[in-house]
Parts: sequence; C-alpha cells; structure tokens
Amino acid sequence: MTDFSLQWIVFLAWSVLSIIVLTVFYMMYRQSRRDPSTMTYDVINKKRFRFFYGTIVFLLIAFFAAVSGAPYAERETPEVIIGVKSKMFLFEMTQDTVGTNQLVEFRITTEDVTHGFGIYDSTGTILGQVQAMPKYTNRLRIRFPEPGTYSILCLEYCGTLHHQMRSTITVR
Amino acid sequence: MKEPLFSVPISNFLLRRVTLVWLMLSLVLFLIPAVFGLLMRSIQAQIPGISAQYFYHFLTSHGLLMVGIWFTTSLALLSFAFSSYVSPNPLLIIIAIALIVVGALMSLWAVFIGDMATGWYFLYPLPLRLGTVTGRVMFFAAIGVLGVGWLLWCIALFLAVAQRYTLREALGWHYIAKETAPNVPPMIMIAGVSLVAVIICLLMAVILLLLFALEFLSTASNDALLMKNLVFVFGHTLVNMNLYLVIALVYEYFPKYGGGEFKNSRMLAIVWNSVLCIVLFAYFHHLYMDFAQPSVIQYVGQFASYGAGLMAATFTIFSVLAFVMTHRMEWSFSSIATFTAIAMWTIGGIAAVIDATIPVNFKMHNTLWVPAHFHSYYFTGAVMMMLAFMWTIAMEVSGRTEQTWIRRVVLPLLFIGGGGFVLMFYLSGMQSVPRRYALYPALLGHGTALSYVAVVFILIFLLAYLVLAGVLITRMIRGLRR
Ligand code: HEM
Ligand SMILES: [Cu+2]
Ligand SMILES: [Cu+2]
Repeated sequence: MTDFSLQWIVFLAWSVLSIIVLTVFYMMYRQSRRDPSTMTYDVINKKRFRFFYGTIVFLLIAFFAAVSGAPYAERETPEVIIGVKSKMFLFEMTQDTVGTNQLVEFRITTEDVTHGFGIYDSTGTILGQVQAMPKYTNRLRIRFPEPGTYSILCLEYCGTLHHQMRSTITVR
Repeated sequence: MKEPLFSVPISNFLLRRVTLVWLMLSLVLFLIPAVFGLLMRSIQAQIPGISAQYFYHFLTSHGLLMVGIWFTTSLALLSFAFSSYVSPNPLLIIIAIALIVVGALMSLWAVFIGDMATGWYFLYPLPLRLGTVTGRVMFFAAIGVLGVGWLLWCIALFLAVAQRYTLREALGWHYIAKETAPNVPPMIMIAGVSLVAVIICLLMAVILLLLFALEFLSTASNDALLMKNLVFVFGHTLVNMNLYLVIALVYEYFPKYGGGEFKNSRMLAIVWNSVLCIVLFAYFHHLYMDFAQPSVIQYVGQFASYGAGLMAATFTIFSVLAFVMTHRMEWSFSSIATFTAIAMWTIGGIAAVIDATIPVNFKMHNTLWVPAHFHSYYFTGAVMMMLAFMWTIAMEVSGRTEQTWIRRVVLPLLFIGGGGFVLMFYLSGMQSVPRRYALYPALLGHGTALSYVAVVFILIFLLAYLVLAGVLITRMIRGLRR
C-alpha cells in the first residue's frame, strides 16, 4: 500500500518538534546553571512577539490546507452507494464488493447506540472513519487505491464486545 | 531549617490542615486508578491469567477516578497557595471533600457492582442500555454528588477572593482598562477566570444529567448529537481547566524557585481572558467525525484549538523559559519536576494541535494517539507538576530539607517510567491501533507487543511513585503534628 501514510508523516513531524522542545528546555536549564543571561526582559519580549506572529502564519497555512483536505465536501457524484446498518456488535452492508478507485459512498446508520465505522487496509492502516450516531445518517466517501481485502472496525466504544465488532470489504 | 516560602496568617491554619489531609488522601487514592491502568495494559498485552472481562470497567473507573482525584487536588493546592493572600472557608472545603469521597465510592459501586462500564466520557444512549437499573441510578447520582462537591469547593475559593477583590479585579479586567491598582497575583487571576469556566461546565453537566434523567423516567428521547456536544463541553472543558488551574500554580511557585516573581500585567490579563473564551469552543474537535455537525462549527473547532495552543506556547511556556534563562534557579526536585513537566505538556500540546487538524483526525480520531497526547500533558504534565508542588509544601510544613537521592534517582525514574509508557501510546496511535479496545485483532498485532513494553514502563513509574508518595506522606504527617 502507500509507503508513507499520513500517520507516518504526522509522527515524524511530532517527533522532530518534540526533540526541538526537549533540546530548547535542556539548553535553558544549562544556561541557568552557568550564568543567568544578561538578556533583559524587553529583548525577550521582542522575541516573544516574533515567535507569536511566526507561529500565526504557520498555523494559518495549516488551517487552510486542512480546510481543503476536510472530508465534508461532496462535489462529485459517487459511483457506488453502500448502506451500512450498525448494531451491537455487527455491521450489515448492502454490498461488500467494490472496484478499485471507484468513488464509494457509505451511508452509515445505527439501530442502537453510537458506533464508529473505520476502514483499515491489509497492513492495518486506517484509511478513514466516521461515526454512526442514532437517528442520523453519516456519509463517508472513499476510494480504495488497490485491490484486496479491507477491514471495517468499530471505532467508538459501544459495549462489552466493542473490540469484536468487525466486517470486511473486498476490492477487485 | 529553611525559611518558609510564604507567610500565612494564623487564621488559615485549619484550612492548611484540611488541604494537607486531602493531599495525603489523593496520594493513596491515586493507586486505585493507577493499578486499573496497569491491568488494562496487561490485558491488552495478553499477559496470561488476567481476564479481559473487566477491561471496560477498569477503563471507566480509571478515567473517572483519575480526573476526579487530580481535579480535586488542583483545588486543594490552590486553596493552600491562596492561604497566603485570602482565606477560603475550611468548613465548605471539608463538606466538599466528604462529598467527593462519597461520590468516588458511589462511582466505584456503579461501575463494578452496577455493571456500568460506559467509558469515562459516555455517549448517549449507551448509559441507558448498560448495567442494572440501580447501577444506572447510582452512576448518575455519583456524577451529581461529585459535581456538587466540586462546585462547593469552587465557591469557597470564589468567596475567599471576593473578600479582597471585586469580580472585575479578580478577573484582571481593571488591568485591561489600563488601571494598575490593586495588584492581583497572576495565580488568583488565572484561577479566577478558570473557575468561571469550571462553573460553566458544571452547569452543562447539570443539563446533561437532567436530559438523561428525563429519558430514564419517561418515554422521551434525546438528540444524540446534542448529547454528545454536552458531554464534551463538560468533559473537555473540565480537563482543560484542571490543567489551567495547575498553570495558575506554576505562575505562583515556579518563579519562587529562582527567587523571582511573575508580575501581573495588562498583557497577561488579556491573554488569559481570551484563552478562556477560546478554549470553550475547542471541544468541537471531539465531533469532527460526526459529519452531521454543521461544517462551520468544525472549522471553528479547529480554529479555537489552534488558538488555545498558540496562546499557551507564546505566553506561558515562553515566559517560563525566559525566566529560567535570566535567573539563577535553585534546581530542586520541585523545580526540575515542574520544568520537565512543562516540556511534557508542550509535547502533548503539539500532538493535540496536530490531531485537532481535520484531515489528520480523519485517520487518528479514536486511535491511541488520543490517550497518548492527553496522558502527556495530564499525567506526565499536570500530575507531575502537582507532585512537585506537593513536594515544596511537604518540605515547608515538615521543616525538613531535600534528600539528593530523591532528585537523582526517584525523579528520573518517574519521568522515564511515565514517558516510556506514553511513548507506547504514541507508537500505537501512529500505527492505527484504536483506543478503548480490550484486545487487539490479529491485524493489529503490533498493538499487543507495544502494550507489553508499556507494562514494564508502568512498573518503573509505580516503583518510583511509591517511594515518593511514602516520603511525601510521612513529611505531611510530621507537618500536621507541628
Ligand atoms: C499510572 C499511570 C497511568 C496508567 C498506567 C494509565 C493507563 C491508561 C490506560 C491503559 C488507558 C486506556 C487506553 C485505551 O483506551 O486503551 C487509560 C485511559 C485514560 N486515562 Fe490513564 N493512565 C495513567 C494515568 C492517568 C492519569 C494521571 C490520568 C488523569 C489525570 C489519566 C486519565 C485517563 C483517562 C481520562 C482515560 C480515558 C478513559 C476512557 O477512555 O474512558 N490516566 N489510561
Ligand atoms: Cu460498535
Ligand atoms: Cu464499538
């Protein structure tokens, strides 16, 4: 499947930032042991606002990138529509085979409590998910990039057998 | 003997004793949910001999007790620190402690005897489908009793502040209007604004409980989306306020470790008042995967989540670093633990902001990435800070000095154990392992292996914790006798 999933990129970004944080904290600790800097608070405040505006720019870019990647927009018409009825502790799907790269829309409902509908590829990586909430129909659109067997796992705690609530979908 | 860090009026001695009693109690009570945590990881690691049957009971009770205990401890620490400035009423606090202990016991009863394994945040209508009828009644009653206990304690703090400051001053609004007097310590201002938010979220809890009760007693039915919004405006805000109450304490204690002081200012007042407004809208990020929620609200949620993170980074974290850079710090157990915990809080905050990004949440929502980030800033962050402040208090009341081995051996083990345990959550979350799973399917076998490693780190943490808690409790008892 995709070698670099979004999850890996996220983890990498988080690790790099965390290492930076730990290094900065350690440097400040060392600094205070040697000679408390002669820097005055004004100088520091100037840096603070530089940091502030820099981060705002960064976050704004991230914000707009995120908005365009959000899974809510529904511009194209789906090629396949699959109804999913979830209930403790199984999923009933109107169809469990689809074609590669078809735009599939799942319409997910629940008959009892809230469940989650998470799609995993054969390596165990999540492709996407949505909640199944009583009295609502949630639509999840997805394209399966490669043929194979994909797993559906319940991703919202729904009772004692929650972790056994699963299904599969075959992509040809 | 060392000079005490604070001078305290004699009239507050009863208050200090009462808060010390809760601090000792919380150190012991913590072991219950901590052992539940260890058991959960052991079940997920499939260690033979531990039945998975009670996993979700442990999960529910762990979440409720952890949040319950540490939220209360933050109130106790604040009361102790407030006693240098104002006088919270010890009687109200005694009643609050009694209610909180009763509420905690009721919740244990509801979960284990009443079979209410709902999860610490519970989604409508699950609690109405689980457990025995008495279990359900007990469960909601327990939350009600805890809520009243917290409310009383918050009121005690508010009344104390009101003896000396007007509401406008306590919230720092006079600074915003460019007045400089009276001088309000940052701790009191930050706690003041946070307590307003706490009261808002307790009110949400009341509405939630009433709606559940209505359905329980009649044939009415509720809207699942509304109920989920209410659960998270309560749960998310409570946990965040817990953190902010601890940050209020950081503003008070941390500069003392370097012989300085954080002064209040117009900027600080603006920052904290806006943080509190922003953070009330951040909880929407819990509902990103409910596509029925209007998309505009989802974007507001992402905006607010980023905003809260930005404010924390630029103001609190930056100030702490700047302080350390410009002062000769006394690096004791308390100061090193607080400083390290602030780093862990930052790391958890970064993970939170990343997960509050909608396309990321599409893949990482309800994976172990979520417990990873909140254990970072709650467990290795806020809780470690609270232990650090307890250490300062225990030294002060017992008049003893610090042993080096506490700093050299126990402190690193606490963070290695805690940090390693949390890292296993991150590694699992990145590899799509879901949260709240008693056992992992074969597809996610790596989740099982990582749980096993986590168990080892938890044991390291618990070992160090037992030593620390032992020393803390003996010193606090000594302090009580003096
Ligand atoms: C000894 C330290 C701790 C251990 C071993 C531990 C372990 C765990 C485990 C294994 C889970 C379940 C994760 C899953 O969903 O699979 C969990 C969940 C949780 N923990 Fe902890 N934890 C610890 C400390 C804390 C602290 C200090 C807090 C808060 C102050 C906390 C709050 C929570 C909450 C709120 C949940 C979510 C419960 C739910 O999903 O209903 N934990 N913890
Ligand atoms: Cu389910
Ligand atoms: Cu489920």
